[in-house]
Amino acid sequence: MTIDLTQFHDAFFEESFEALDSMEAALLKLDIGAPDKELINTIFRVAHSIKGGSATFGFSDIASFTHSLETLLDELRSGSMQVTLAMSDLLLKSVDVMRAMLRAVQAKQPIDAQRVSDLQFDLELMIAQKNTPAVAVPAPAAAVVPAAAAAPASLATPAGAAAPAASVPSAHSAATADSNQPGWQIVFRPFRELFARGNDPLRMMRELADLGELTVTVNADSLPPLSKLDPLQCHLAWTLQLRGDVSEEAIRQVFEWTEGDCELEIRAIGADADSAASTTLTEAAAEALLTAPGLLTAPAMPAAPAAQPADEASKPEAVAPAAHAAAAKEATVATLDSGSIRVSVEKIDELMNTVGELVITQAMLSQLGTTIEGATAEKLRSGLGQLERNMRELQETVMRVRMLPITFVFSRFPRMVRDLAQRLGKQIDLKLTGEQTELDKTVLEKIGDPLVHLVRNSVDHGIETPEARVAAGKPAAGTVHLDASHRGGNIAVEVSDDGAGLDKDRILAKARARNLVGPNDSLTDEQIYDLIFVPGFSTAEKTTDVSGRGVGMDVVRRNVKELGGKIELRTERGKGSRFIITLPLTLAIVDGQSVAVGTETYIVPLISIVESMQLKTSNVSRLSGRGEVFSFRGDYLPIIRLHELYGIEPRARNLQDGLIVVAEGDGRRVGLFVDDLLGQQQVVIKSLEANYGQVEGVSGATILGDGSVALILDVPGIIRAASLRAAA
Amino acid sequence: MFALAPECTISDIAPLQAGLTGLLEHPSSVTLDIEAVQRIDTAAMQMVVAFVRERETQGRQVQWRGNTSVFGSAARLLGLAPMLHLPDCSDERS
Repeated sequence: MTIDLTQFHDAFFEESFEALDSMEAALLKLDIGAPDKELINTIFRVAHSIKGGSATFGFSDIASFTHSLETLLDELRSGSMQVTLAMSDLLLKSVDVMRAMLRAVQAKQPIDAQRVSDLQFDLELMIAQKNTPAVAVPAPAAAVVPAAAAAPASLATPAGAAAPAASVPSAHSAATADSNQPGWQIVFRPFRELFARGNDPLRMMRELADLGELTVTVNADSLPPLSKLDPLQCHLAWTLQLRGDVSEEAIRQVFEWTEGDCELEIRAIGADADSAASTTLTEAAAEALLTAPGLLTAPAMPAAPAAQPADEASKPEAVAPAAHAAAAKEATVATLDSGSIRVSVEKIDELMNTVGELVITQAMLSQLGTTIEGATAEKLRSGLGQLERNMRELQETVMRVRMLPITFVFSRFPRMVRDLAQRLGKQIDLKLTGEQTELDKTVLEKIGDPLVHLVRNSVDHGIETPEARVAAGKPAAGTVHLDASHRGGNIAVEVSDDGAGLDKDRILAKARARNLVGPNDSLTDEQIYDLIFVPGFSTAEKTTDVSGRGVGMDVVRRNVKELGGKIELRTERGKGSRFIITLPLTLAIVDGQSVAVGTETYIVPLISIVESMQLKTSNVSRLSGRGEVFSFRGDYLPIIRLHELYGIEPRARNLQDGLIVVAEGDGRRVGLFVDDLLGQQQVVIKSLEANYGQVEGVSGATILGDGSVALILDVPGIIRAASLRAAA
Repeated sequence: MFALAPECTISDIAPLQAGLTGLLEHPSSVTLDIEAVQRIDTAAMQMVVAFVRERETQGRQVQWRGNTSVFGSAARLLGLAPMLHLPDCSDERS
């Protein structure tokens, strides 16, 4: 029988990458010499789970590598080896190698075997040196299998009966385990697909047995006869008692990888097991509560008895009297704190799209409502007002689903700063704040690279060497600070350092040397600092492989602008620099200014607009071959007539009859000539590419309240298109 | 007699299933040789238990042969040892 496990590979990869992130974070928190035992356990569990999953899916290279890694971690866990700086480096490199291996396997590309075997050699060498310090050749990493007598022939217990409990003493505490100790009762009911998702209960039992004295009772009631058994499905369930000084969190971590693939109940038991008080719901029961109508307002939500089967617990008649409400609420919170479900981005985008359609329909109804007269008109308008409020809430709620904490981006920096500082011989403290600030997944994915540039620049050019800092009266260790916060309807992400700050005179001198600034031009500080965002501009005295090639800051600004955001710089010589990136919360909605051109309506994103004005003819000049320009705050800006660009019959042809919207894109300003301004509103962006095709100068479309379609203008694209027309 | 392979895991369970299924109707006592087992997972253990139970309902015996350390440790950790009447043995990591 051939079993297709490939359908579960994606989930395995996704979970493995997340686990490696947490492993890396835990490694970075490890104190050399005095590591936190719980951190080591976390690191060990990641290696152990990836090893098990890899073996299940037949990724033997990964399984073999993680076995060596796990062996080393096991030595750390048992205290027979100590965490050293060299070991910490080796473990971090192992994370990199595991990531690379997983990526290669995921992409069906060959693994870099040399890199893997080199590191595996180092890992095994480190273990071997611990075991036999005089011998440099690594010992094989195979586990020692103790001999035991062969079992006599026997018959199985009667079918359908749960097997008697088997007590499994802890590997570490077998001698001291006391069956009268307090502990936990764990009911573990895997769903059928548990095996196929790369989970092996045997692995979990081993981990639990390592935590304390484990008593195992298996329920094989639903195990079919062999002739009817689908080996891919799990038909066993377990009730476990784990005694010893074990935290609930430690137990939950053992089952971390089974989230969504099982029902799990964990309840504390005292020395006398009968005095146990249930503190949790079954996950299925909790989910049933969550999905039950009126959950949020129901006065009484019951805690399903822990021993009750989930299907019974989820029945409506399981609802308990109101007196149990408070306990139930606590229980729900306790269980759901760590609960989450994995939903594909496509599903959320579909939901967003549908909500976007609803918003449009609601806007159409609201517009229609204003035209209706009669006795019921007032009631209708009141209802429409309520609908509008509900729609806004719904839209915000759905958008929040796409939101992820910025810690997903920030988490890469501790490792990066540590490695860079080591290479550059600097001492740097990285401070992260506001990591829980949430922003749209798409924005989050695209802000990573700009932040990497900024942090690298801070580490490489901002923070001085320890000697230079001490000479300047500063502490030897510099600080790089990343912060995220909500500001109005936007997110502000700041990268600041207490380093040398920017040298205004050097920037200006360099700009003059490159003819970016005239010899007699006088610039404000802001204009001078703005020069670092010009393509190819770098003041670094020497380029390094870290930064300073002059290709970074212009890319940073362009990326930020593509996200609809902006970047500002504040710096003080000798005291440090601060880059402030302001981003929209989401890319699904844009704040726009509606403008009229002929019978058409266009949306100009507010972030691109500098101001709107009526032109006086005296301010307009016509340049030969370059079209019309107008004077604006000492500059001459080209005029782009939108009706000409889009071939529309306008209402206003004379400049003084219409309005000019001064807009900015790619560092250039232009005047967009339109018939009229209609109003500002938030609009839901519909992809033009997905529904039609790419159009230069248009970033998307939206549907207005009256049902008509309006194009959302892409100002940088319009400027590029207009430049091409002028050049032609 | 049927000898279990060194690697008895879900990714390579077909030979185990085929071997055990072929022995279901065997009229006399069947011996499972577990000597070579170096690694076994829950899916494979579940299959062996299903086999033993189905044989048992037919009133047919299953005997064991070989060192039970890996197999026995897995059975004990999963609480399946009593169903198989395997003796306790020391634990080890796979």
